[in-house]
Amino acid sequence: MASTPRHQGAIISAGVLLGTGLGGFVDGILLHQLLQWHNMLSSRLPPTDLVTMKVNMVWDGLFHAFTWMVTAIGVGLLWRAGKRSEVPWSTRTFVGSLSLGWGAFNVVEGLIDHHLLGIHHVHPGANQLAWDVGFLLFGALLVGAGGALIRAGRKDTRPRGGALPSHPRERLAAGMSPLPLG
Amino acid sequence: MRHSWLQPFVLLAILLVATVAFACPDCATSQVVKASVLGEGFWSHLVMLVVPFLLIGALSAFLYRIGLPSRGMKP
Repeated sequence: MASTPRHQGAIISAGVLLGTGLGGFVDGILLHQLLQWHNMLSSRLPPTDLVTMKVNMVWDGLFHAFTWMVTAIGVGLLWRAGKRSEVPWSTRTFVGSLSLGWGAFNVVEGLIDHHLLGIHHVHPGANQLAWDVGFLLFGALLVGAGGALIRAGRKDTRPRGGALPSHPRERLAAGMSPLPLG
Repeated sequence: MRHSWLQPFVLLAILLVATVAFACPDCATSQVVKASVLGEGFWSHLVMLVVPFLLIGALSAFLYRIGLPSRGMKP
């Protein structure tokens, strides 16, 4: 139904926040806690003894707190978007937005904290610049992939709970296989 | 059991109190940590922490209103 009013922005904004939150948790759990890298103030206060480790831990905790808030707001926006008939319930748009949010956060955080202010680095040490650039490139890759998926999702117009298109031409236009599978 | 819903909350409260007690909020190390976190540079560190989240929030709001710019497609 090409004439259906579309509001792709509602699901994109929810996905971007959720992507930021989930990506932030990957960062916090994998890099900060499991690998013990990327601690928040590690360039200014290297975690070499109990006190400095605990201070970094507090700031890592604050990072997790903001990550949780962003995730909660994203869940709220997604819940609201799901109740609106003009919002296309598109997997491509949503997954693309998650990827865009995660990547954009990595790029913004990397540029500001690693390169501009230098308050911490991904993996402090001899090759820290390489790790920081790799972090930025990974973020840029996620942004690119997310943008491509969101653009592909523009063809999706079915609202949440709406019937799947049955005509092969409509299915193709919606980015689905022409014949129902299964 | 009639008040079985109460049990998880009681357990949670006990665990919370026990955790706070074990965390030793007033021992010497914690006082040094608190002073270091809340002392000089607290606000600048907080701003540095928050700015990326604010920028992503702004991006999210922008995408809500505008969406992604079209590339050879009618919006």
